[in-house]
Amino acid sequence: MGAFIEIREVAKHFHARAERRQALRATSLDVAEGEFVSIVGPSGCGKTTLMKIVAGLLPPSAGEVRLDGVPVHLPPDGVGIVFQSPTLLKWRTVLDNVLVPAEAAGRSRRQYEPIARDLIRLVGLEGFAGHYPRELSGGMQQRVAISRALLLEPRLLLMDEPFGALDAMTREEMNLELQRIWEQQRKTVLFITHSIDEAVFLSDRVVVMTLRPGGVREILDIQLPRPRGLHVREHPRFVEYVGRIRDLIFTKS
Amino acid sequence: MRLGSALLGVLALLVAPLTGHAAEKVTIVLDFTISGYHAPFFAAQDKGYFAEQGLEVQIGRGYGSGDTVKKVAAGVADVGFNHPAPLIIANADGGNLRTVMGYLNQEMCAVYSAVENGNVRTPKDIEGKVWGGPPGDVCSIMLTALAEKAGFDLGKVKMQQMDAPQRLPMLATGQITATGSFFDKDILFKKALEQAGKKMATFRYAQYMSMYSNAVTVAQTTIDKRPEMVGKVVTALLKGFKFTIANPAEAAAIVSKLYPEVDKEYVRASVDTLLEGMWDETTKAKGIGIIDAKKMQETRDTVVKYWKLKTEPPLDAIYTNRFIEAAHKSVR
Amino acid sequence: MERLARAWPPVLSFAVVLLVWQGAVWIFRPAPFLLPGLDRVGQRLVEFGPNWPKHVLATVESILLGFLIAVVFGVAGAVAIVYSETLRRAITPLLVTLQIVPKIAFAPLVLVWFGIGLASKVTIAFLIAFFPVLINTAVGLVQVEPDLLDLARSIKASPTWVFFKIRFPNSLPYFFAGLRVASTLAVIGAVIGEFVGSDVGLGYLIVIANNQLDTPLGIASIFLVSVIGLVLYGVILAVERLCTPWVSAEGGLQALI
Repeated sequence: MGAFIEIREVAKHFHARAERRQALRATSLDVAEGEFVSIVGPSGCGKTTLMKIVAGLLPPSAGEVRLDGVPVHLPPDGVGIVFQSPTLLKWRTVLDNVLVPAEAAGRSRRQYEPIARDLIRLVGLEGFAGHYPRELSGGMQQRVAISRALLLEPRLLLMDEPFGALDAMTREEMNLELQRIWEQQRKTVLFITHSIDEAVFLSDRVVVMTLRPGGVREILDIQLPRPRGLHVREHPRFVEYVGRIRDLIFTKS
Repeated sequence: MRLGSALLGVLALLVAPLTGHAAEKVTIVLDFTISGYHAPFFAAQDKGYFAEQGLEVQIGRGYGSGDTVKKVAAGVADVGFNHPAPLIIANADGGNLRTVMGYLNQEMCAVYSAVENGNVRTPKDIEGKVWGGPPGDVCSIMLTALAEKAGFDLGKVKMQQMDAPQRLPMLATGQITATGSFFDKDILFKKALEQAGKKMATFRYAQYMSMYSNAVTVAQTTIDKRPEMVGKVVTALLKGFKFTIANPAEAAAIVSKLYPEVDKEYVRASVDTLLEGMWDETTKAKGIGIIDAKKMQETRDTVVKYWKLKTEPPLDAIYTNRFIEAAHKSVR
Repeated sequence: MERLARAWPPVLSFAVVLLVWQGAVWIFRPAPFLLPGLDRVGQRLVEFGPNWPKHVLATVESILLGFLIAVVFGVAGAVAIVYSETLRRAITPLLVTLQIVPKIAFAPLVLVWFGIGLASKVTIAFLIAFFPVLINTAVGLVQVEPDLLDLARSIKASPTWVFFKIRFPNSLPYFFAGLRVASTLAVIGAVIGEFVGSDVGLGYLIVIANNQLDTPLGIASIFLVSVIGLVLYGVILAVERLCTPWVSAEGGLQALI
């Protein structure tokens, strides 16, 4: 019985102007169901590329990804994605935005509307179902994006720096919110971030990727009790993990 | 004494620049696009007839006589070359402009058609044709006068309005079957029709009516403020005329050199048009550019009638022979 | 009440222009054929009375037909070049060249090819108004966040769904901005068509007026052309507000023109 996500020697290179650019070096990773795994690393280390390959949006140049034993070629069912920008449809209300995955899949609106409303409540936006994106703050828009990603009850949630565009305080607030939401539903989450703090706060494991040398440097097990509160960032073990990750990223081996 | 005055003349020419005598600037606006009949202007400029009197002249093409009159009235141009109709219209509406020198002293319009579809040889032939012309164009409006004087029914002519240059291709393709224009364009119509494999038929309005055509215009305020300048311009133009009469080919060459993009054959042929159109009984008897009161009155009355003016501008405010008569005396 | 407060600055600037104009006429007393006073223009406007409808309708007809055809072809063209890579590569250089060529220069040629009448005027208006519609609509269809398109793929949306539910609504603000520009150009094109060859219409009247030094008539005609243009622009703006309620009035493309 394999892991829920199996990433085997996945690599990706691009051809740009007769040059071969290595976007992702051979990477392997296993993720168990219900795990919250963060991938942290500097720009260009290939983390977004990896996520897109897992999402079925990019084919790998080498290696294979299996989801629950099934190889991933095209975007598989049961995967919800949240991007750095909320990518909401400006001309639709919050509710209609959340319902987009159902609509695109041809599912009945009547069936999914109550689910959507529940999700809106879950992310803390009760009462905003009829609002337009322009009336919401960046953090609120991202919450809508999260509800949208959860609409079809995915087993896997992929999040590519979802809080990168928010200010530091909103970001911390969203970290707490995300944790709360995740505690309710316990999906498998693959979370990409620049922020070492954020990775340690949210995850069961942190995958550290570097540029030099490229690829996965190390995978840390985060042994911190859940639920993690406001002040866990001051916990000595938290500080230790963050320090270790920082070392891994900033010192060359 | 000849040598003495020649020496004085040379001395004056040498000294003049030293005295810092700046040339007087004059702007002249013509009636429409460049034609060989503008030769006297350009010959005067090329041969130094303006410069020798201390004038620095800028000659620009026109955009219709109406526009030229407006420019002279507004002071944008010092001197204009235009058809008398807009001048008379302007004077009837509070303007104060004067013709200071006759130039084209015959009615210049001609009717053009293709022999193959139209073959208009007399005014009566215009009936049943499709007439093309710019709205407000002299030759189109004068059609009413022609109809009266030559006796045909204008109601039987279909009028199509179009921009002036369009007349040529439209006639050639048969989309219109008759049009009017100053007869300097004979050769252009002939060539355009030839390109469509057709032959040209034409006759002149002057066979049926008599009135003044384009002449040199100045605002009354300019006459009051700068009478010497007006006299000098007229004198230089008179010399330009004499040069053109004596050297038509060279005059055409002067125009073509300045405007190489204009059909050279047309420029040469339209110089000949000038040599025809500049003469009438008055100018033959009294001299180039002299205006006859009775003919100007007829011209005024024609304009008032066919342009439906509400008031009649006074005749003696429309023209003056003062400058051209003085010019004749000084130019032997 | 707030509406009134926002209306007064533009009304004031119009009033100032009219005042300066009339003031210049009073002070300088130019000949009426050079600069007629407002009274003369108004007088001529009224005097010409029964003749206006014929000319106004003719010009409106040319403008609307030219504009509508430009919209239809512009949108069709935009969809074609967005969805066909080959077509886009084939005709984009051609489009760029045609965009730069002053279409007005073709007016006399159009007249010779299409003859005098509605066809020429509509063709000229269409030629000038077409490009803004095409380009703006194409840009609007294409300017979708790449992440949004990734999202669409991950939820397995069909290309039709992506077009109608994402690209099309996304393109509306750009499309309407293109329409607004095109409307003013259609007015210009129709009037130029009338300058070059027509026996009816406000452009035709302007030429006649110029040739006959009937400046009040010319100015009255120009005034009416402006009114037509403003009304068309206003209608498009109103439809735009209705169709794109998510674009705020202060920000967005509406603020630019």
